Amino acid sequence: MTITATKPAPRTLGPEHSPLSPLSIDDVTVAYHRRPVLWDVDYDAPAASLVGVIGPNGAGKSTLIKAVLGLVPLASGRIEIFGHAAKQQRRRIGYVPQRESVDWDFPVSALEVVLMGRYGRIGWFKRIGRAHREAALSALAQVGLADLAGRQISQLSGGQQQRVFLARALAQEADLYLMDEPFAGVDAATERTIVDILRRLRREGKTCLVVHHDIQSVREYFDHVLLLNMRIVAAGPTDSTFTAENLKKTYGGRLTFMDQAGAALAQSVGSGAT
Amino acid sequence: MRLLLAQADASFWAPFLRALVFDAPHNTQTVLCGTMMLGAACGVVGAFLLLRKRSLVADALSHAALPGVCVGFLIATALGFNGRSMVALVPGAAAFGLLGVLAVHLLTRLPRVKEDAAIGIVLSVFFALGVVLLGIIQKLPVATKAGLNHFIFGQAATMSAADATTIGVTASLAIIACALMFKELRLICFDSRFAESLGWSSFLLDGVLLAMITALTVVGLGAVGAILMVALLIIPAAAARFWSDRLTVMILLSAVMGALACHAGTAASAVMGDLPTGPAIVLACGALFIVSMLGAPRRGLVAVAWHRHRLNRTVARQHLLRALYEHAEIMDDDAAIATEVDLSHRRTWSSAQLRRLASRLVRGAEVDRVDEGYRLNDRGRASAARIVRTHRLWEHFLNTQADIAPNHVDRAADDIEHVLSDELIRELEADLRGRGTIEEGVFVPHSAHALTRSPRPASLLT
Repeated sequence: MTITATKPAPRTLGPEHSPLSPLSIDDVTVAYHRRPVLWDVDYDAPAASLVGVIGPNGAGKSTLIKAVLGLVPLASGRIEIFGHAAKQQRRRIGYVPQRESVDWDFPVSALEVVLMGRYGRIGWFKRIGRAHREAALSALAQVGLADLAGRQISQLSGGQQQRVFLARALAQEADLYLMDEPFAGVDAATERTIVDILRRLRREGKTCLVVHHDIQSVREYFDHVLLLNMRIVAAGPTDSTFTAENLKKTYGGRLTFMDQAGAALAQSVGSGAT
Repeated sequence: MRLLLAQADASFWAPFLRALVFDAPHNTQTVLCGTMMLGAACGVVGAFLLLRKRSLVADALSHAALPGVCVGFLIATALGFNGRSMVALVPGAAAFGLLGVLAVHLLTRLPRVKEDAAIGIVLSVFFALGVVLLGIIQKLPVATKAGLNHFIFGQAATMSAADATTIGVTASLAIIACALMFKELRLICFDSRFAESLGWSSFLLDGVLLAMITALTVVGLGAVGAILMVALLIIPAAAARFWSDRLTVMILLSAVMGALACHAGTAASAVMGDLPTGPAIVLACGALFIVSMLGAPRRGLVAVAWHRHRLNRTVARQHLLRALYEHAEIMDDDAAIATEVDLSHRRTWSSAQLRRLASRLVRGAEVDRVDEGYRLNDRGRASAARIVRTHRLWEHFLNTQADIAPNHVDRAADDIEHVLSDELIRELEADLRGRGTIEEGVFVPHSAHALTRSPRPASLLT
């Protein structure tokens, strides 16, 4: 990869951050219309890990992802990806936006959407070569949609649409993946596919930051968690960090009884297994 | 064609026909070609605009361009040039058009103004300014002022060949730009956030789209007019969307429809000297849209209604066959005769509905009419067995995998059984092995709930 050959960025991060970390967020504050949504977020993502980003609605989970991608301006702080400014590392980032963020009635096929994941490599004005087409087809096959490559995206089920987005991120062949609620409203088969792919990515040494809503499956899916409510409440390995106490701090009074019961159950099962 | 023209020569339509087939004076031909190119380019660029959901920005732009035309005219005239030349009008129109877009953008950033309101404000205020300026210009003692108010509704007939050439060249450039940036424009229209995550500036790409729209609007203003310019950008694209789910095909069709509409409108206006071109073009666009909306395969209203009708018929047939089959099951007699009363207990059919449905099945040789009721014949029994089987597999699926109480299953199964996949059917069948009968060579599972001859309880009908 050519990007790794660029000279290292000057060390401007705090001493606790490692330049080798896939993602270093150093004291980042983000504000919309002068109202802060993220305060002093300071976080290092461990390499080869699946990190669940957990928090209530409006906690700034999506904003955090967008900040890393450079889609929202930082009021202060700095974000580095593999020790370089995020702007120089675009090709090493894969992105799965929320499914509702696009119009699924758009006249494109599943394959054409997945090919968009290759655009960063293809560049402006250039035609899409056969190698890129094959990479996109292989990404579609990985999510089990090889047969539906030519289908217009509105003819896909919600779960299939989510898998198309995942395939597009896979086609990016990134090292750091940022996923905004990939599990939202998907069927059981899609959920299994996504989990399998996340685990495979981790085996390949990649890091995934996944915004997640279903508290009950956190222990099963993620080895690290980032509990967020405008600021970081807690971050670290799931076993030690994803505790009822931290959850309560994250959600305040907004955690419903069902979620609490589920989390408590998950915790007892989790600790029983270890 | 010649013969047709010769015959029509004496009639009212002759010049119109001549214009339509380009058998017209040279200048008219040039103008026709120019506006057709404009229509095609607007079709192409308009498709992207429509998909980016920014159509009304183009409306603000074209209305805001009108005072720009007047200002351009005034400046050029004051400097002693010909105020009617495109060299004078285009920069003024472009500057004011972009100023309008900028105004919309800035107004939207105010806390209490939404985009629709901002567009409404900018569009009307700029247009009013344009009309006032036109009024002032009409009072000026300048010879070239004549025809300047054609910029409101458009008048292609008075256009010079040089203007038409300018339009043609601009339109060709826009089409070429779209072809070169097809991939980029498609991405920005579908998922601008993802484009930005790749490091592609959506500001820049939107800017390119805006530049193309501005260019087409300002050169087309004289032909189509400030008020209706937006129609040429939106309608062909919206009409083309009915015909295809592929962007390339949609854009091609949009271009063809835009060109056709411009051709028809320009020809009509060339023949009837006073007819403004803009409205004629837009009416042609509207006609194409209505034809597309009604007649397009799959997405057209006629196709959709026909499809729904077919589906309703299929579902009704399946319901009746299943009712007859289950009646035979209850009676424990394959040759059991179901009366209308028996059947109406199984489902909410009106008597007339039931009779109509049954007679269709009798004609289809699946059901025999016996004096006091109906009975499945061998053929109908085979169809019914397949239908009942699918239905019960669904019931089983919903019972086991979707956590639904058995007495709620029946209704849900009715709706979904028609979309069951083969793969799922095999899986469910394996699950139910041993709990059913072999009927006409297919496996029919037992019903998940008890079948009774009595009327359905009211709770099931909700």
